[in-house]
Amino acid sequence: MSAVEVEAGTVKGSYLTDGVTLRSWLLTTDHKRIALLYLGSITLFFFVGGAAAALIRYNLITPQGMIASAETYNRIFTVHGVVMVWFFLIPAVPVTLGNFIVPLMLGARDLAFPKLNLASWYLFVIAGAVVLYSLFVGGVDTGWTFYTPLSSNYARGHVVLTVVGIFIAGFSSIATGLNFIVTIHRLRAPGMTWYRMPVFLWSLYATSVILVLATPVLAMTLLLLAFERIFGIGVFDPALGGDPLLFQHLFWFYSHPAVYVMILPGFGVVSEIIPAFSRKSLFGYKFVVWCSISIAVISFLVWGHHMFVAGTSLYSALVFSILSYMVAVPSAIKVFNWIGTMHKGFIHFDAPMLYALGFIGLFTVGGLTGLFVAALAADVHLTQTYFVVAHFHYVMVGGMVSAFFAGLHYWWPKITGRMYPEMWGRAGALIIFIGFNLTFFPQFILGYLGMPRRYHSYPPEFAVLNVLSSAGATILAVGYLLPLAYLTWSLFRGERAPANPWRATGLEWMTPSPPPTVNFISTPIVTEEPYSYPPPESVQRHV
Amino acid sequence: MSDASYLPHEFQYSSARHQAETAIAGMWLFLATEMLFFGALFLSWVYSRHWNQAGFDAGAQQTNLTIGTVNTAILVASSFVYSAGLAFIEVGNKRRLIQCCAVAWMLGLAFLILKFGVEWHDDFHKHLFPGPHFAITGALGGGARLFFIFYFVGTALHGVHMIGGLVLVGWVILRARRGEFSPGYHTPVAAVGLYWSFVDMVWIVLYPLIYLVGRGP
Amino acid sequence: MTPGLRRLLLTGVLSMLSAALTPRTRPARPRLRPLLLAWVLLMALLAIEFGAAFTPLGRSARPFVLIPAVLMVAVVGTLFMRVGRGVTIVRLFAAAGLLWLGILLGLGSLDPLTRTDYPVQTGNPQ
Repeated sequence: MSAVEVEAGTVKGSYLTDGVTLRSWLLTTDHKRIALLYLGSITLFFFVGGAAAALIRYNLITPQGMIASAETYNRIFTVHGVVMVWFFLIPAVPVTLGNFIVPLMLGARDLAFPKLNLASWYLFVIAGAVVLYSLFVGGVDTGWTFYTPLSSNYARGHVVLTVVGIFIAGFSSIATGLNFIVTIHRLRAPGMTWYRMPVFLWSLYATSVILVLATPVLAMTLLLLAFERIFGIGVFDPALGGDPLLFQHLFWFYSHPAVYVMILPGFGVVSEIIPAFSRKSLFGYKFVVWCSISIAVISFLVWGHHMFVAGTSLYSALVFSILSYMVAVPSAIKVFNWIGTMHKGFIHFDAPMLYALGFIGLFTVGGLTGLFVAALAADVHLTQTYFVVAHFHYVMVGGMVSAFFAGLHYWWPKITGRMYPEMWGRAGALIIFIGFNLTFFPQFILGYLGMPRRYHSYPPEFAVLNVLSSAGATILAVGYLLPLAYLTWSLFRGERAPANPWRATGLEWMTPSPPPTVNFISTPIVTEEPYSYPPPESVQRHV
Repeated sequence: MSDASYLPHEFQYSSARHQAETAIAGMWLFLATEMLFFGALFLSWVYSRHWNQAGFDAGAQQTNLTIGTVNTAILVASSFVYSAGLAFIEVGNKRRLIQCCAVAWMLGLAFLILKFGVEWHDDFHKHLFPGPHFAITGALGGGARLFFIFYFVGTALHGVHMIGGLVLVGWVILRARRGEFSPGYHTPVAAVGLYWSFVDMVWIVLYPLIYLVGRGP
Repeated sequence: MTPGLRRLLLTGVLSMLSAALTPRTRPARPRLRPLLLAWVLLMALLAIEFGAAFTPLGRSARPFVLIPAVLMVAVVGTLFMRVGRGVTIVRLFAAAGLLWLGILLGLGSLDPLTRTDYPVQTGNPQ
């Protein structure tokens, strides 16, 4: 690494103090400021979606449903899905941690297209405003999946308005993905070959490939849905010769790869944290790298597994089932690599590591249960039950949200120049882990026993498990509110962070915390492999 | 072409050439996303025609083959002329660049006038809009309706992209007149040219899907 | 000869020498030939496609009429958009777009092409 002067972080002369007017924030093209603008936005959406989740679990405390009307319940879970998917999970890591860290990790001064980056934030905010407005005027009851003919012909509610909001958010995603791909290809520091890039960058590259290639299909799908609803065009309506399965094919062509958009950045974050807190190089770097790329590619080939009972041909269902088994393999390989990294490492249980360890366990459970539903025969029983709900919450919430918090804590010192209070960080991680399992594990059992999803009431024999799940949700809510509190506190009272508090490798740690606007005073030159941690002392002693 | 290291560039790039190449690469990636956008529409064509072949083709036979073919020739010419303009500014001929862009712009406008002013007008007149008074009824009616849905949605979306293209080409003409382009710097001309040719490509695929596949013996 | 006159003559001789030795710069010729070739190819393919549309193919084989269109797309891409020039990632992006388009259309068509359509009694026979 080139000799870059790094001192104990001060906020003088950093990107935070470079311009203090509102205009300097709202018209910034600095990727670091844009990352913070996004962080504020997605935090808001996380709590909106979380409030909807609280209402769902509240409703399910009693078998008759605490909220009187089924229609209202349908609107609540639709809000939860739409907001969490498009306004939290898909953007979260890429637009906050990605926007902030990618140029730093590459040794670049900014992304390839900084103005496009700002535009993507404005698109995101406008999209969010449209969706929040549509929620405010009553929302929609179709579920986040908008299946036809309910959404096109029968749903009462603001389908077109919601769909327009998501359409706009799609362009924000495409812009972000395009920016990352071009930046990673073109703005790497001298000496940073592809195989010297940290896995976080490879993961965001894979994520961006999915964003740019899948999201346009969603755009067209939503456009056709809107036309169907407004003009009654009939392309999805069997009475007019259309095919309702066309909607599902087009929708899932995007939405399945979209779930890998959600999880791949999480894989990247965990791949940074595990080596840093095991003081050991990432085991099987090239395997992890190529697994990320293969997940991005294979993710496009499995969408039909959402349609096994929808009426597609058995032949196509078989093909999609086999491909769905294949997509699990690279994820599993990564889990083994992370464990291999920890083996004989010197493990530190700081908050980022606790979140990362939680990720590995919870993601593994979620991933394995995906295989149950990927089997045609088992899926006939499990589809549209709480088993599926538990499966995707294990990967999305147990996995992805944990990874987001892991990354947020890991890079918090770099972003803000402050340390968060470590004991509170660990407490939060543990509370989330416990609350999460209590909320969602009972749902596997409920699904196996046959409780359908998206129903506002249920048979009394399912009551105990539902109450357990709702109790867990309360604990989980506390776990999520804690970081909001102590991270905010740390902005004002947190200990000042040095440039590299974790003694981690990576170019982002070679610049002060928080970084100056230009990131690096002089362009770094990369000469080492990534994760070049010194060998553990125990090995040295035996030599 | 020299490195033109004296040309300005944004601070994250190492040279003007680095930035120019990156901008072109970014445009190509954007065009890849547009391929997937229209691709979804093409998949709906596959489904609609598969389930309603006779009616779908019956609808296609009502399209105006003359205008469609003339429009295809117009767009191909427009793409040719614009590319020639790019070739001219690469050797420093600003005058020819402006002339070529203007001709390409006018050909694009001619396409839009023929398509929306003449052809769509005729289609509405013949009750081919898939609304309540749709002209084709009976067993073939459903498929024909679906054909015209694809026709109107596809040509409308293509038209929107064309209008965007006219705005971009107009912007290039304005900048060229201010003398902003030279052999050392003409990235916007090249980038807009890529977009313009791509919109042409989309039409090249739409043309047979609309006018040719359903026709013939 | 005065010093001033000598200097004037020297300047005159030197500038004439310099002009004679500098090659005459004329605007270079633009690369129009590949564009003209492309235009001719495109019109030819359009004519072929137009003609092919009127040959008797079975209803299911009609989509083959798209083959000249695909070739036209290739011509526009190589000769107008010059995908072959420019940095390598330009070709990577174009190829990725095409590949994924293939996945969407190919794997997406698999279901309707292999689905058994069970006829349903509807109320109003149309």
